[in-house]
Amino acid sequence: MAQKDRNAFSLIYEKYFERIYRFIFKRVQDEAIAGDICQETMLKAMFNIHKFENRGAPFSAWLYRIASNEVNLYFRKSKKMISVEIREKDVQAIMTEISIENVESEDEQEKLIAALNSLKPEYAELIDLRFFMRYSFKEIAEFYNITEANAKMRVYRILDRLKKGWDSK
Amino acid sequence: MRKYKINRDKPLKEPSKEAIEKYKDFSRLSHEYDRLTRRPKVPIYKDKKMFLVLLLIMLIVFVLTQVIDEEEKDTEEGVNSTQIEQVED
Repeated sequence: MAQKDRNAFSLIYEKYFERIYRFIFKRVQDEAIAGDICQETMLKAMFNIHKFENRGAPFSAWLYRIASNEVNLYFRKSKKMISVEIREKDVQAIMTEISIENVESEDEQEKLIAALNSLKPEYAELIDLRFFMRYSFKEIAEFYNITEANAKMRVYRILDRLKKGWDSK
Repeated sequence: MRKYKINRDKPLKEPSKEAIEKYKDFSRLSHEYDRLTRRPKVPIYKDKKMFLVLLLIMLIVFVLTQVIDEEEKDTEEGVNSTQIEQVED
């Protein structure tokens, strides 16, 4: 990488490091692991910067995608279980979305958590982005490089599954 | 693997500013990039072991091409001699 490009990348690094670090931390909940994954993300971005195509989505969406892949890779490689803490009101937001009446009930909330824990990782990621990281559909669309309508459809399809699973219990 | 857990009373864990600063190190990244992209110090042909391996590969290729050439010559000669025999008959 030419020195000029390297200087340019240092500006990118400076601008996005904290955001990417916080994004990773939310998922792994450990400062050191988040630090390592963040460096790995930036290294991959540095190697592949020439592959980035500007199709209207912000540059950060590309970085978030790399970070997300790195986090998933970390989860696949590591054998240990990591518990990710989420807010009660975020769980309640999902319950409202799938029309569960008693959102205050801790039993019902735990039931939903169990259902979320059994989701496929790619579905859990969407729920994560929408309800726990509070991404708008536009941001989710940019993240996956899909249309906003498609992002909505994917999220509601997963919520539908959760609802069906709930009703059948 | 990760499992969700509801946090009911404590505030959610957030990384400290110090931690972020501690892990933010462009020179380390740059160094890592250089390490991964750096050419090996000794050229392959100057490395004794690699030189022998290269020599061996070249020898095998040479022998194979010789064998193939010989076989082609034999088949050509065979075809020619049968053609001559046919003409003589």
